[in-house]
Amino acid sequence: MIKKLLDWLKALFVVLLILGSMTPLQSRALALDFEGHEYWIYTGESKTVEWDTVTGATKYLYKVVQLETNLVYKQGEVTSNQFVVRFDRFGHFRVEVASSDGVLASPYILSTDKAYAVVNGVGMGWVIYARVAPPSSPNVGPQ
Amino acid sequence: MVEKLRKIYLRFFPSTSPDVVGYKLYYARSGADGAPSQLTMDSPFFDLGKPVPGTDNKISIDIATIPALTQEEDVKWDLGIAAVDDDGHESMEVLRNVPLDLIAPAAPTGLEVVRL
Repeated sequence: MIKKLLDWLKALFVVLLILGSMTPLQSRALALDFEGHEYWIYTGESKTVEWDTVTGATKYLYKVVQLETNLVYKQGEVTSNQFVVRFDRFGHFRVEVASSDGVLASPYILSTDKAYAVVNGVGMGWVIYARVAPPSSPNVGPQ
Repeated sequence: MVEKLRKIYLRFFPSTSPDVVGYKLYYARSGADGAPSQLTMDSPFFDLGKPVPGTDNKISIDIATIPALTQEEDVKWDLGIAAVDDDGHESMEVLRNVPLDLIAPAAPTGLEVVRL
């Protein structure tokens, strides 16, 4: 059974689906000891994360971890190979996913690990940067 | 003596982030045309609190309530309106070269009744 789970793990990739008009920034080193791709989003907005399905898996476990604090921001499980996460907090976040057959679970793979994460079809680690949305359309004039 | 100043408002749409607890107005004198702005998040600022948007969903601030911007004539300002979340993180939108002259002219003197 353990071998089977490891086989699942090898086939598991995490891919970020870019929904809406958000554009990924250029890859750059973060001040968080991470080099890879950074997607940005405003707090209050959502992203969809997807990965390859794993034969024999009946559900997937996920965690969203804030890098600044190393605390789990959200976690849960889904039966499909994707989930939507809304970011209500400022910070940089990585996603972790594991597959399960209902009894045993694989180790979690990390979106910051280029061995498992994918950006635009290329193996590359990534994080999501949730920023405070600025005020918009400012102007000065008579009422 | 009474002065009547024209009303000038700073108006903006609020941040869409759910954890915003207030706004700051950063200000710096504008440089020469084409020069980079001197405005940074180390510039002086005025705490706007968390004003309630109007029926058009815009926040409206009476500039006259910000003395630092209204005590000099013929000054142009770079203004940065920053949303602040409950952890103190900020995000700023900048307005450049805003002319603000809210100094009333000197009152007339020598007022008298003249017999024709």
